[in-house]
Amino acid sequence: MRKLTTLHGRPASERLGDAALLLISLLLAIFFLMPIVWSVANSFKPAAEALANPVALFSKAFSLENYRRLEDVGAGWYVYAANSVLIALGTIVLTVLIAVPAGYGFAKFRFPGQSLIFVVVMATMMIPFQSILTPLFLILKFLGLQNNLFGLVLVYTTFQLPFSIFMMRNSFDAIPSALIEAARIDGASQWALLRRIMMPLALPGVATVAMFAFLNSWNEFLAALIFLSDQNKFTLPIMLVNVSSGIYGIIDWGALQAGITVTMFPCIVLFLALQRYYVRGLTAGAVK
Amino acid sequence: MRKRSIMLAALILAATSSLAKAEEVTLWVRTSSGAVLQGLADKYNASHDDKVVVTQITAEQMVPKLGAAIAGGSPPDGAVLDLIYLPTFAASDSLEDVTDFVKGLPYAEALSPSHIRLATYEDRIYGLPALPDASIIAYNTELFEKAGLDPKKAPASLAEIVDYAKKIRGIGEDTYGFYFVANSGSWLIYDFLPHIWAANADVLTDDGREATIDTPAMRETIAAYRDMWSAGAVHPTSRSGNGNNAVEAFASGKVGILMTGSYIVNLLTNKYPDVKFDVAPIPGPSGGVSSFAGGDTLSLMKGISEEKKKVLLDFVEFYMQPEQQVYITKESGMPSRTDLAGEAYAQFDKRNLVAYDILANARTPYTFSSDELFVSRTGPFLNLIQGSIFGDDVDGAIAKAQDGFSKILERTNP
Amino acid sequence: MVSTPKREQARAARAEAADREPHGWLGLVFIAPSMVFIGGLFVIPLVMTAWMSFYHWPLLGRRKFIGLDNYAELLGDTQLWQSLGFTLLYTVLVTAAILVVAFPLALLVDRPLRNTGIFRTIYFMPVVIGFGAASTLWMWLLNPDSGVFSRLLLGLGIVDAAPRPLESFWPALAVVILMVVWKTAGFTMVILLTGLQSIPQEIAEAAKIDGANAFSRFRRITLPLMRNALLLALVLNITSSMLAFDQFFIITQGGPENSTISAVFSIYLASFSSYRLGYGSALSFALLVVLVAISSIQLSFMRQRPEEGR
Repeated sequence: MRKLTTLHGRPASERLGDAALLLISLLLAIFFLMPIVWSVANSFKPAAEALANPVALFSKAFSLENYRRLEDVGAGWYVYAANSVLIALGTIVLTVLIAVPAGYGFAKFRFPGQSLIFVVVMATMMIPFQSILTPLFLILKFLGLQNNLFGLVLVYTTFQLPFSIFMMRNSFDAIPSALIEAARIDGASQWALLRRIMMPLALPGVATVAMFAFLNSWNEFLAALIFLSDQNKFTLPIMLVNVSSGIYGIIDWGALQAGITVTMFPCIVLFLALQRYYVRGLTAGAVK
Repeated sequence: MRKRSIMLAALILAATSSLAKAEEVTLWVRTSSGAVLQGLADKYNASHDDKVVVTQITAEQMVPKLGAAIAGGSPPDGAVLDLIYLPTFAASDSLEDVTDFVKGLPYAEALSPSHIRLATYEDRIYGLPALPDASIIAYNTELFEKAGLDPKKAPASLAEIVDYAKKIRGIGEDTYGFYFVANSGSWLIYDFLPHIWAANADVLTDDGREATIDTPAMRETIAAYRDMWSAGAVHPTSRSGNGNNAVEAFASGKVGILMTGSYIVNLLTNKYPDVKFDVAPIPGPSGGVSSFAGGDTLSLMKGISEEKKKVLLDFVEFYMQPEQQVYITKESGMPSRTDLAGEAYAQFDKRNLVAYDILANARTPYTFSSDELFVSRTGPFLNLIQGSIFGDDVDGAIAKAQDGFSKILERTNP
Repeated sequence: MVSTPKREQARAARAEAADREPHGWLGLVFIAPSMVFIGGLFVIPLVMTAWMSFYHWPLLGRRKFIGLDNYAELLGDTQLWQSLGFTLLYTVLVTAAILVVAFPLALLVDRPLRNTGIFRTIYFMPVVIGFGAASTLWMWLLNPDSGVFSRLLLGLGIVDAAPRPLESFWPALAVVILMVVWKTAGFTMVILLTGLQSIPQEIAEAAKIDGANAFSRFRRITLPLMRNALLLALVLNITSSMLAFDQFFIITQGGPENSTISAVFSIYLASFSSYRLGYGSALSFALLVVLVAISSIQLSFMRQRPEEGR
């Protein structure tokens, strides 16, 4: 219905309006896109050219010198990238391993105190982790995991859990009981049920949980700043801030652009590839 | 023949024993001192089997990172710290006692006295001077001439600085008389407090337990700064500056008088040879001179193994040698040993000696709350300077600072 | 709340499953690992925050019980009140700015045209970049010497000298808000979009036939029906703005003159720069109370809504 009216018999004023809206959309697109484009473009320019004309999108001389200089920042950018990858992977794996059974438990079982526990889990979403960083520091120290990538993974996982459990419970809720019943009559064990029937159906939910775990752990700054004190263990965001605060009072903008590009790249690629899982997570939050 | 085999045996022995014992020690250094320490470590590593690995920590992150690392039980082996933090770390039992090593050095008497004083807590010594420096003023002699001033006559009082700065501002649109880094506590104690000291006043009592903010010297100094600021004689980036642009602003030839430190002489002559300048001690409101004896101290972290301790102390002895002292002087303007000044300065600009000579009058505040009192962005000292010089209520700012200092001292005095 | 019927359904399904599930206790086994994490790294630290706030607790050295002294000091800490006031000011301004930008964005990409999908993706893209990377990126854009903005403004002849926005309060706040709008408007846009798309098409069509003009249709139909989505956007934006840290730590570095130190920033400074974990805990606890109060008020608004609307 809607589509038909768009294509036929529209008055000229409305078509003009559409053109104006398209123009506005384009201008806004430039605003949202250009900072990213400029940063990437400048990361491939030689220093002199970047300084002479930072606005230009295409460099006369394509250069990787900024990336090479980034190798001399602290332990080298690839060390920081590797740390970030390890932390992100660890957070994804641990979050999925814990949130999937928890979501299943909340969705398909009834046990004493269930609703109270679920309310407590959801309430933790309201409490910011920023306010409990100090005791977390002491707890990690007690566990011998301060200044340790795995310690950070534990913290990140914990803060992913409320959202992830909520997401997984909804996914399992959506699976019709008749299906489970049928499988059970066929003699499937609890484990086989979860693995063969439930998991494939809940997979989109898992993808959403994994994607949020990745983005949040990859981008997190404050906890990494506080919990990691050894320069070989820093993550990419910490590296960026160290570059941006300058060495010998001079900021190497080229290396900074290269670092920003390296940091942004996986997030953007993942988002473009798995957009619908991301939006799904957001709307799940919106509907709760 | 026999001689040769003995030599061979000795060589093998040396090789194997050194192989077995080769240690790697980590040393945290703030970025501003990173280059010098890296240079020294490179020289050391080239001639020794043991390795000193320098890790540069962003200057503002040094205290949070080191504190977290010590509290978390994973500190580096050693750290090269701003000397004002020594009492804090020593009092919290975080540093290794090096008293015997210091006292056993043949040149113990010649070690920078301020560094030793700040590293001493309850009669034990917890650090060794690494890079000393002293605050001084630098002035552009060309601008002095243009403004009709005698370039050979440095300002002898703050009143003269005000007068000169205004005259230099009169030269033209983008020429400013005065530059001081106003938005960094560690810069302000370095460059601002000497005015007060030069008038024989101080912001803390001698034992460091009470605050004495409201002195005639403080009021006169603030008045002079306010005068320059309202006359537009102060460079506009002074107010929000954290120090990163100060040298460049001066080197661009648009600043008459810069509040700076002893390293400026060699930095300018190396990097900006075209700038015509001279240096002088920091004067008080109506005369007298003083300076902040600052710099970096090398400390060993509590619990360091005997082997690593040996390496780090060996590294200290290495950089205390005349050859390395000359290198330190070249890179950062002042040797760590006072008995080598003649040698260290011989091949460099004579202007370096101004800072060296002022050291006798220099001071350093000894307090357990350096960060909270002076350095912290939210601390009372920074608020005092910003409020009283750029704000409207001088009395209020002074009263607030006195109150803020007292509260912190009351809480932190051991 | 939007999907109450769906939720009822789910609840029924869950009850049904539970009825047939012979081993209810098995559910506890499934949720046990998550309880260990949330208990150990969330509930315990939360209790510890309250406990630590009654101590003089230096990062290095010995702790000492001091009762309510930290809270007494907190009340008289002018810098803290200034930073709390600043955080509230920032929250109000940035939330308003985001809504003002995101609402038109949502309307723009809600239209059934071919290319709205692309625009939706583009507007959303900065959301997935972290605050750390975004802040350093904008530091460069805003840099007076080699940044793009000053070059553009100079090139277009709009200004005579490179602007230095970080050197005074309002410009510094304005550029941070601009950065945050750039980075997060897409997020709010998607939330509002779900709200828009939940409005039944028939209602809008009916109003159109009744001769209502676009503006009154927006005011009478779109806005009331989107109240929940708007409130949700409000809650999320207010909470995250109250907790802002990265952008002020990186871009303004608290300056000029400590005027842009946010609440979380002052907690960081107290705990990890001044080594005062006890006082930092007291600050954290106070911030927590403020936040929970704000969220509760907003949530109670949302709960009231369905009855009102029906």
